Amino acid sequence: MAEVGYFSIILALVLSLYGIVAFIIGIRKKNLVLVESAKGATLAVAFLSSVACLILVYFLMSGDFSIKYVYDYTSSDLSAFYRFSAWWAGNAGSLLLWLFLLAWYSVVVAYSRKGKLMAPYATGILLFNSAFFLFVLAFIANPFERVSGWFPGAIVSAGAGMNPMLQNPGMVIHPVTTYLGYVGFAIPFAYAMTALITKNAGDDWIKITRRWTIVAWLFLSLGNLFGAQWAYMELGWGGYWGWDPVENASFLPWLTGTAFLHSVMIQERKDMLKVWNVTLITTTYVLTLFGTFLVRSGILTSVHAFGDNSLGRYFLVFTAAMLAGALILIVERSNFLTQGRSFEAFLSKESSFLMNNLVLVGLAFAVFLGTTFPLISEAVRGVKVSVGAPFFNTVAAPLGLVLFLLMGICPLIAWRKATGKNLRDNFMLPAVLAVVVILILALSGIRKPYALLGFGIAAFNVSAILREVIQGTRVRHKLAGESYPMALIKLLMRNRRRHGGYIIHLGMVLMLISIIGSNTYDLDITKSLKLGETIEIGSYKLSYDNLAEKDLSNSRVAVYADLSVYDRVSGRVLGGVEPQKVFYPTTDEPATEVGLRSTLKEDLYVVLADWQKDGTATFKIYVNPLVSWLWIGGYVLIFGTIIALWPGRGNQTGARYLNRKSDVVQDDGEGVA
Amino acid sequence: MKETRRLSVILVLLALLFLPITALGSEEWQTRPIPSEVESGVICVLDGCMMNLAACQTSAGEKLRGIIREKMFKEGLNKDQTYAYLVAVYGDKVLAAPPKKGFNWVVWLGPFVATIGGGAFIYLGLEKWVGVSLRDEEEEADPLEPDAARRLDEELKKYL
Repeated sequence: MAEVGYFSIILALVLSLYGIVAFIIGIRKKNLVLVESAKGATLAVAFLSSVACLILVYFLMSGDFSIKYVYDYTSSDLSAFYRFSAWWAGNAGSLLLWLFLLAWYSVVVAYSRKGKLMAPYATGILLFNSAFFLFVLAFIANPFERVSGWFPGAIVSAGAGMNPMLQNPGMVIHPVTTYLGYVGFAIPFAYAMTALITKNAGDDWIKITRRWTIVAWLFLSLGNLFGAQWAYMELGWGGYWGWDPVENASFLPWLTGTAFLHSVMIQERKDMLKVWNVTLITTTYVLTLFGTFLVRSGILTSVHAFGDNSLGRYFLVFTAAMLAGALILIVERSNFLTQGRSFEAFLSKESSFLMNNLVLVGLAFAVFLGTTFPLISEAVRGVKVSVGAPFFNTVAAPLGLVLFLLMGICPLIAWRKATGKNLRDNFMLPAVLAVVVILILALSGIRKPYALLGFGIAAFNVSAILREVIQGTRVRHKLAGESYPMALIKLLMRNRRRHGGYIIHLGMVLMLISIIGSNTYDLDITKSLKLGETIEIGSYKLSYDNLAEKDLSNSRVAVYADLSVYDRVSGRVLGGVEPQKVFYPTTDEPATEVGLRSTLKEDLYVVLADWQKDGTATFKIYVNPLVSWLWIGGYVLIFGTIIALWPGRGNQTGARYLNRKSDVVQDDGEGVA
Repeated sequence: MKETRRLSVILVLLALLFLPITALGSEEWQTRPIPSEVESGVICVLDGCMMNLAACQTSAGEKLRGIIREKMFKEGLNKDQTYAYLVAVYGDKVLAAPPKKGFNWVVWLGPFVATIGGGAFIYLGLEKWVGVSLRDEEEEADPLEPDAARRLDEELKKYL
């Protein structure tokens, strides 16, 4: 059956190459039969990819250790859930998953009723991507390769086993969502390139791909969020974001993708920034490939990486080729992308969006430079340096705060030209509230400037959004005679793009509050305790009650400690935590399972670091304020994105703002965001 | 000569007497926790680990912690002196952020220079675009009276 899987890959590669050629000739000769045939090839590639995936999953689930991939990433005692997730635990399997998603996305594009003239070009570009992945799977990282050479018999029958760190629900979902995001950005890129190839200077490609872009952005946001949750629970260092190169790799396209989501609004409304938008989506797409290169090349060390592999150089060549091709196309066709309009004033929504783009791209540049600087330093000076959290926190904090300030300003500023009165009306109340919040916090003892500024900016954002929503609800209540709850619901539904955006911003503000709280007011202590001893941290008192060992499923053994948690002042029992070290039969290093007591106020996070035969144990204990709000903010962000995506009336693009006598203000919808 | 020998014997005896106390002391510093602000500034460079020491739970991390404990708690070095020792032994890569000197300024200042440069570029672009827009307005006289324009703006704002 492995041969069938491999043959599927080879056949899919041949068909994808055929599809590319058929699309090119079919489009050039205007031969519809050939174009339809190419679409059929796209469908066949997706079908064959599915066959390959099904066969790999069958091998994983049945535990056929004669397949090297199954041997490398599973073991006979691994649960069915993690056997399935082993599909993307290694290089070959994860590339197969990537191909599977890309192939079916391509089918949806090929058979889409939207933008029928552009679809063949875009599908051809996507097929080119698929062909690369198929080539890699066929010749570099074959998931159906059989075990060969000498292996100790006992291990062959059991399998080498999955990395314990990957045996966590967060790590099961995180890669899939991240890939859905990565692959999703290939669609707007393909359409952008189509617009350039066909010299289509309009914003058709943006309209066609708006949903694709938002969905890709949503999945990438989820991927980052699930990755942070996994790191928080599994790595046991008390944090959720360590600025690891691979974390940065998925953060980079998120930043440029966010910039793109905002800047396309200017093209939709003002027919401007065409070159910039094409450049931004190209950058985002290339950064998704760059991220994959980082993960698979082993060029930078990371806890998330797949390790050293020759795959890296193929990804580097492909990334460079796609970047070069796109840039040549952009430069060649830039004369077609002339701007239709111009800005009417320095102070307007469009100029504030430009600033938002500037800071997002600036932040992306900072992360990119920091991530690659160890390589640059070694190449230029021959000196190895490390660039980690202290650097990124120093550089990202000021840029991030400016970004959040702009996030509060942009939605409330008028298109075309903001007047002094507009600014006063919209910003006086939020600005006053922000100052009040800063003063209250300063008087209550908070002295750290970034924290004060950050909380003030968060207050500014929240009050600006609430003011806007409350005002809109009151107007509806007054004019339409609706009850306040009904007026609020109808307001949200009437312009979902705009209000979905507000909800997303609200989610981001909750995350900002959490990030500031957990990074500036966290406490930690490391201490060895004898049985029965207590330790105090923050408002907690912990009593070390027990140290024992227990057998877990799948031949795992856990050493765990029981600690009772009390309120430090009142002595009231708050509960208990049970940090563990779990030993897996297939690896030497035990995995950490933290003991967590999570509330909306703070997390009590306990790690069992070490223990002695006499029962003495060393604990690392952290109190991380406001961490729950990071996850809550993430869910609010998801909700807002779904609102913004929801189809039907209320989801259209807003008015186009034109400024010439001959122009007519068009409004093809109700939205204005 | 006899005096010297006697002194030597006394010194040796004294040393033997204090040995257990010193050994007890060494046990204490060997398990004393390293402040997290010290750990978070160090990369675990041993055995190719390359994780931040604060996050590293491998045996390589423990080995490096042992070295830091010895320098800080046994030899009494402060944070900066400990870092200087680590850099002398393992190179700049042992620090979690590149030292602010020489070529490293590229990474420290690059993002800010690029962002400020981008801001200047946008400002110049806006100046040009707004200028074009104003000239257009002059060429194509606004047919609206100021009062009508104000009312139109008010109406537009309702949809903003």
